[in-house]
Amino acid sequence: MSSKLSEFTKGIIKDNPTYVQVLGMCPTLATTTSAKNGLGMGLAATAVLVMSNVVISAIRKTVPEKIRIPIFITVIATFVTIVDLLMHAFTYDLWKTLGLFIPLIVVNCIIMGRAEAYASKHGVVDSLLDGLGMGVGFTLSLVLLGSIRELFGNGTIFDITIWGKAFNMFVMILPPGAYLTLGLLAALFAAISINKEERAKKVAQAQQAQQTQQKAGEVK
Amino acid sequence: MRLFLILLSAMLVNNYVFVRFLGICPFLGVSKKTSTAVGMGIAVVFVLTMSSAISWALDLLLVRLGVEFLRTIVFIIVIATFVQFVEAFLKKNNETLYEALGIYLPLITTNCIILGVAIVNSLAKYTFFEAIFNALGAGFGFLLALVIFSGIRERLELYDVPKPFLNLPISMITASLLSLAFMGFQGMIK
Amino acid sequence: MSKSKNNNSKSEMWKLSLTLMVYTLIAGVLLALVYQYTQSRIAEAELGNVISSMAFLLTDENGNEIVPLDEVKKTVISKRSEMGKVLYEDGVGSVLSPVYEFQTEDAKYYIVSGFAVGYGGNVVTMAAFKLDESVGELSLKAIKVLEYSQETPGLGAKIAEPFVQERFYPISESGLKAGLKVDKDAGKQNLEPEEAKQEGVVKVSDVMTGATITPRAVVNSLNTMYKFMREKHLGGGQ
Repeated sequence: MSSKLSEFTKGIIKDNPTYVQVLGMCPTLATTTSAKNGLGMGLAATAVLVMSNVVISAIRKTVPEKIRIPIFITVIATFVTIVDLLMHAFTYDLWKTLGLFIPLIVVNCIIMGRAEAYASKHGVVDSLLDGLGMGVGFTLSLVLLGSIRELFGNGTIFDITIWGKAFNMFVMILPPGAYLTLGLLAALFAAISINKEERAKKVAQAQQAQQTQQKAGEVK
Repeated sequence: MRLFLILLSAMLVNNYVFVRFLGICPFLGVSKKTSTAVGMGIAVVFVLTMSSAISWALDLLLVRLGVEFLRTIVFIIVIATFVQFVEAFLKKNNETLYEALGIYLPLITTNCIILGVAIVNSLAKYTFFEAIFNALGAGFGFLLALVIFSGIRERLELYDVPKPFLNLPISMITASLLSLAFMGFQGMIK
Repeated sequence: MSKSKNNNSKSEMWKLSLTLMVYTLIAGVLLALVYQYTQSRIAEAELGNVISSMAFLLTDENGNEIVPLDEVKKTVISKRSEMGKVLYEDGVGSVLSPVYEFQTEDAKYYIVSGFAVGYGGNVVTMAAFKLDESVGELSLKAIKVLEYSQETPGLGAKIAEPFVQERFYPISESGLKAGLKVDKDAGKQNLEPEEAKQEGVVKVSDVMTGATITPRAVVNSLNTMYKFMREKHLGGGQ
C-alpha cells in the first residue's frame, strides 16, 4: 500500500517535474500570469497526462518497439485535442486565455517523458498514480508560480485582493518576471534539498562517530 | 516590406524564447557550449522553416475538408517525421554534428517552438511567404538567444555560483535579465 | 541470402507502417466522435460570448440594461447565419456582418463588429453606436475588444483590461468625424483621458507604454466602423 502511495507523492516534491526534473518549462512560464491561469493549465495537462499514461501503459505490450515514439505522440495528441475541444465547449473563458498553450500540451516534455520512462514499463494502475502525482506536482508548481507573480504584479491571488496596487511590480507579469520568479523558486527548492542532504549527512556522521567510540569503548 | 517586418518581429521584438516562452527546454540543456548551441540553432531553423511550409500546405487541406480539429495531430506527425529525416541525413552526412547534438536532435520534435510556430501561422492566417518569414524569424531569434545564452554560461562556469543556484536557477535568472534586455526592442516597430 | 533478408525487412516496414496507420485511424475516429459531441456546445459557447459582450455594451452608467437580455439573445440567434462575413473594408480596417439594431425609447443602438491588423494578427472589436434620433447624432457609446490573442502578453494584450478600453469611449460624433487617433499619433500626449475623448483622441500612452500598435488597431477598426455606419448603413446623412 505505501509503495502505491509513494508512486503518487513522488511527483509532488522529490521528483517535482518543474523544479527538480526541469520539464515542461514553456507552459510554466507562459501561463502563470495569474494563479487561476496556472491552475487551469495544470489541470488540463494533468488530464492529458493521466489519460495518456493509462492508455500507453495498457497498449505497451502490443506496440512495436521501433514505432513506439510516433504512436505515443499520436495517443498524446489525440487526448490533447479532446481536452481542447472540451475546454472550448465547456470552459470558454479559460480556453481563450490559455489559447495556444493548450495544443502545446502535446510537446510538454513531462507527458512524453513519463510515457517513455514510466508508462511504457509499468502496469496501468501504477501509471495512473504516477501520472496523477506528476500532474498534481506540476499543477502545484504552476499555482505557486502564478500566485507569486499575480501577488507582486497585481496585488491579488485568484482575483482576491491581498494588497491591491500597493506593491505594484508590473515586471512580474511580464516575461522577465516569469524567468526571475522561476529561478528564485528553483533555487529555494534546491536550497531546501541541499539542506536536507547536509543534515542527513551530519546525522550519519554523528552515528558513525558514536559507533566508533562505542567500539573503542568495548575493546578497552 | 511586411515580410521583413514579420521576420524582425519574430526574431527580436516578439522573440520566441524571451517573450513568447517557446523553445525553452533545449535552451537549458544545449546551451552549455557555444558550438553545440550554434549547431542546434541551425538545425532548429531548418526544421522550423521546412515543417512550417509543409504544415501550412496541409492546413489548407484541413480547412477545406472542415477537419481543423485534426490540426494538432497532423502537425505533430509532420514534425516528428521531418525530424526523423534530418536525423537520418545527419547520421550519414555529418557524423560529428550528429554526435554532438546527441539526444537533443530527436528532442527537436518536442521543442514547443516548432509546433508553436506552425500553429501561430494557422491562427494568424498568414500567407505562405508570411509563414516562411515568421518561421525564419523565430528560428533566428532562437539561434540568437541560444548563442548569447551559451556565451554567458561558458563564462559562468568560471565563477563561484552559490550551490542552490547551480544549473536551473542561475540560468533562469540570466534568462530573466536577457528577457529584460530584449524588451528594449519593444518600441522598434511602429 | 541477402535477398530474403531484404524481403524480411521490407515486410517488417509494411507491418510497422500498417500498425501506425491503424493507431492513427483509431485516433482520428475517436476525435471525430468527440468533435461531433462538442460541436453544438462550442457554437453555443461562442454565441454566448457574443451575447454577453453585447449585453455589456448595452448597459447604462448605473449598470442597468438598456435592452432586455432576452431581446439581445433572440436577435443574435436569429442572425447567426450571417455571422463572420466581411461587410466592408477600407484598407485600414474591416467591418464584420451582421450589424445588430436595437430600438429603445430615446435612441437607436447599433452593435457593429470589426477588425484591423495589430501586432501578430487581427484585433477584433465590438462597438456600440448610439443614434440620438432627435438630433441625428451618431456617437460611440462603448467598446469591447474581443480578439487580441496574438498581441504581446503584458504589453499589447493589456488592451484586454477594462480600464484601458474605457479610454476609447464614449466619443461624440464631432470626435468621430475627424477620425479617431491614438494620442501618440495625434501628438497630444499631454491631454487628460476625458479631454482627449472630446477631441477624438484616445489617451493610452500612459497605460500602454511601448505598445502603440494594438490600440492603434482598435482605433483603426473603430474609424472604419464609423465610416461604414455613416456612409453605407445609414445612407448619407450629416
